[in-house]
Parts: sequence; C-alpha cells; structure tokens
Amino acid sequence: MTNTTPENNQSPAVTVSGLSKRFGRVRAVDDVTLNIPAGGVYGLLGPNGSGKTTLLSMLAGFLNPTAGAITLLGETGAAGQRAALRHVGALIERPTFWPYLSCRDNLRCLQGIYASHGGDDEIEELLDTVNLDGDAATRKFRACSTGMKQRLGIAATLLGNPSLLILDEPTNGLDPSGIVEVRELIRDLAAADSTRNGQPRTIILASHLLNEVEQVCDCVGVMARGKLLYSGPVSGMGTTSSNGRVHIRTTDDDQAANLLSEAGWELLDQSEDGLNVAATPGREWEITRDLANAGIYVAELRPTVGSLEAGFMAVTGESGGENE
Amino acid sequence: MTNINPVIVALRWEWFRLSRRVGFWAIVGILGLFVVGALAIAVGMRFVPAVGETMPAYGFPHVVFDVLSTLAPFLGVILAGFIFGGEFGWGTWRASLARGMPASRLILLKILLGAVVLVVIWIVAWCLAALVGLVAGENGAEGIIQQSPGFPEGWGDAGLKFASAWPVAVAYLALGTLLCVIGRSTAFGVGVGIGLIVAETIGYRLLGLLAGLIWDIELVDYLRWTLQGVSSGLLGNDEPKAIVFLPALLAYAGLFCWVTLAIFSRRDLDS
Repeated sequence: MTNTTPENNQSPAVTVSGLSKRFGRVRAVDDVTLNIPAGGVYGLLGPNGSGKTTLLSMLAGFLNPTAGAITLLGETGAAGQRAALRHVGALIERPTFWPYLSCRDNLRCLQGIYASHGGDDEIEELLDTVNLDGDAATRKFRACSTGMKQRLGIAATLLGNPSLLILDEPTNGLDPSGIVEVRELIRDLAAADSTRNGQPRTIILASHLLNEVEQVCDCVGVMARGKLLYSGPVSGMGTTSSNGRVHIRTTDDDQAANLLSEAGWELLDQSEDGLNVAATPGREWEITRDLANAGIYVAELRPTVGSLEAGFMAVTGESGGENE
Repeated sequence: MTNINPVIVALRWEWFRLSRRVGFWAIVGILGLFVVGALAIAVGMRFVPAVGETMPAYGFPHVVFDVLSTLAPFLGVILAGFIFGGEFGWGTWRASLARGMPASRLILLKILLGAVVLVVIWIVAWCLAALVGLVAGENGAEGIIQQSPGFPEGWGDAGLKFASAWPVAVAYLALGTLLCVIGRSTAFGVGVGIGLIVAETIGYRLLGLLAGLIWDIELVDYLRWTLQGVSSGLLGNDEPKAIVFLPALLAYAGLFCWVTLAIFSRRDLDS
C-alpha cells in the first residue's frame, strides 16, 4: 500500500491504523492505514463495493470497526471520537431527514440536537448557501426533489461550522449547474477556517467522478476490495501510470528514433508530435547526451504525466470501464 | 439558548417533531373520546350500579382512570411507535446521532418525552374528571364505601388511581421501545407490542385458572396481576393493591430500557 501525504506541519485531521470492518464473511474494509492531512480536500476514489462508504461511516461513528484505531481531529478512543464528532459534519450515502417537516424546520431540529448556537441567522445563511431559500425552505422534505434533498443534506453538515466535513458523493442527483455550484462550495469551504481553534477545515470527498476529484481535491486515496491502494497528491496518481515514460521532440524525429533504438532505448511510440521513450526517472539526461552526440538537438523533453483515469486504472488494476 | 441545558433543548426539539405528527394527535383525540365517553356515562347514570347510590365527586376520576388504565398498555406501545419507530424507516437516527450524541442519551430522552406526554395526558384527564365530578357528583357517599369496598374512599384514593395507571403506561412505553429497536420498525414494535398485551390477558386468565385449581399461591397471584398490567388492581375488592406492583413496573421499565440500550449501542447505525 502506498501512503504518501504532502508535507504538513499540522497534525493530521484523520489517522486510521489497521482499520477493518467485516460483515459476516465479507471484509468491507481490510486493514486500512491512512493519514489525512488537516486542511484541504481529500478525495476518496474506488469502484463499487471498494469500501469507501464503510470507511467513511466508521469515521463518522455510524459503524463500529471490527479492528483498528481511529484518531479524529487529534482525539482517540471511543470517548475521544465522540467528542471530536461534535466538530464533524457527515453526509453519507443519502440525506436523511424527517419527511413531514419543512427544510427549515429540519435544520432547526438538527441545530437543537447538535446544540449549535447559531440561531435563526445560521439557518437562513445555510439555506441561502445551498440555494434552498424562499419557497423551497418551507417545502416538506418528502416533497423535495432529489437535488433539493442533497442540498439540504449538505446544509445540515455545515451546522455549527465543523472542522471536518465527510461528504459521500454529494453531487448525486444534482443537475449540471448544481454540480458546479456544489464543487465551488466545497472549494470555498476548504479555503475557510472552521470555528474550532481557527484550524483549517478538512473535507473528505468520496466520489465516483474522476474529474470531480481532479478539480476539487488536493490529495486522493484509492480503494479497491476493501484495501487502500494509494494515498497521496492527485498529481501523483498521474505519474503512477506514467513512470519511466518520456516525451521528446527533436530537430529530426525519424533519425532520433533510429538512433535511440540502436542505442538500446525502448521506443514506445512515434507520432507527428514526437517520440515517447521508456526511461526510468533520472536517466533523461542520457537521452539528450546521445542525441546531441549524433548532432540531433532536443526541442522538448518532458516526463509524460498520465491522466487521473489512467492512474486510477493502474492503481486498481482495472482494465477499463466505468468506475462506480 | 447557550444557558439552557442541552438535554432540555434536545427534549424540546423531540417534542417539536412529535407534535407535528398528525397520527399522534389522532391518538390523543381517540383517547379524549374515551375519557369524555366515560364521563358522559358517569354523568348520565350518576350512580354506582352495584349499590344504586349517587356517584360522589371523587368517583368521577376513578371511573375515568378505570378506562385509562385499561388503555394504558396500548397507549404506551403506540406512543413508543410514534416516538421511536419512524426513526428507523426514515434513517434519521444517523441525522440525530451524527454529532457524537450518545445513543443512550437520545433513547432515554425519547422515553422521558413519552413519560412526560403521558403525565400531561393523565393530568388533563384527571382534572377534567374532577371538574365534572365537582359539578355533577355528590359531596358524600358513605353508603357506597360501606357496600362497595372497591370504590375509592376519597380524593386520596382517586389520586392513587392516577398514580398507578401512569407507571403501567411507562412500562409499556419502554416495552414498545425495545420492540421497535429489536425489529427496527414501527410496525413491528406496535404490532408485536399489541400482540403481547393480548397474550398477557390470555396468560392472566390461564394463571387465574391455575391459581384457583392447582397452586393457589401468592406467587401465581402476583404474576397474574403483574401480567395484567395492574390495570384494575388498585383498590380492588380481593385484588392486591396496585401500589404493591409499582416497583415491579418500574423495574420492568428499567429492564426494558437497559436491554434497549445494550442492543442499540452494539449495533451499527444502518442508514
């Protein structure tokens, strides 16, 4: 398992160690160890049944781990996790509210239960933030569209301005403009500090949309078959699929291709744009040396960064098709 | 708001949700019909049929609580269904417990709400009956007391009748809670709960037969009266006084709560 996170002076928002969850004979989450740095957006990717939602449910305190330990916002143990959960907003699987209450009353109820002190101003601000103000606020939850329910779910996670947000596919059911709005909201929320000791807010975002993760997240974790296969910067996912691949443009690509082949370099492909050559990182200079010695000059040489999709496929071992 | 105890605040919002359920008010309305019906019959007859004398003022609460005592087990179970069961169907346990509130606190809060609602219903019914009694009843009724030992001897006994019916309802509220949690549904909790009440009545009759024919010992008597929910035990002729069973009822309520918490805390919180 790869577990690389960016350099960060602050203690991680979430640390899990050897975390497992079994449902009968099924290992939904299998010995996951993970650090999620404080601040920023951490994406969680994985195919259906990979264990993402189970992992998030354990972080949110909904599921009891079979084994392993969770440190949430620096708090450990059952009592510690419960204390930390006061500063955690979670929307997992689907938004759940009392169907006979209006959107506004649902939020007021939860505000009372969570002992959030924002009062009516907080409710109105949140309704406005998720575009549920006006008539939508007075609509009964059971009469809301899927998108409205999802928006209300996001609003509920923001009650009390929590330090950690756990969002499980928050753009599900939203129309394209709604998806864009929610992504912008997530970025804005990540940029703002939480009320808890002025700490930066951390957002964990599980999504099946690779471009969403690419656009919104700073770091990403990839799960498959209950295991965490990769954890690190989003950009690192691309290089995972392109290790040892260099793109070259020269003054004479045909001659360069012949020369490099004769010199023992593996020519991967050639097009009008240039050559792709297999080269382990750190040996790129040898290519320029060989070409220069033959009187061929390099116009461009760069490691090829693969797409997140390609990286995802490489990490999960998927041969193709839709991921979740 | 910051100075108010979080438990009181949470209790307030529990009540807010319960009070917005049409079904809850329908149950209260039906109960009200029973109370008013019992009072109407008492006023219409204005005498105790067994001895043919006029009903004293304190007899009216007695009559009303005869009805309420019979309904108390059903009321307790149905109220539990309203307070607890919906949370499973809607998946709102997750919403309520998302910020680290202990499940034990939330469950006890809900049972407390049910107990408070029952107290309010009891007080309203008792006050209404007492008011009607003061208007329509007689001041004294020595003859009735002498000829009908089961009849209350004064306002104190009428108050005791009130005090006995409430723990019955609370015990069944706790039982209904347990059943809802076991079955994770309102339908299961209320359905099985009402089934158990019926089974208890049958069991009471069977134990009565055993007590009369075979054992005739106090333990069997105790069991059968407890089984019946002491619905008519208080101030009965040869029946044990219900006050004897109050500790047993409260112990039942405590046991049901404890088992409910044990089951709930061990379980995952499914959506």
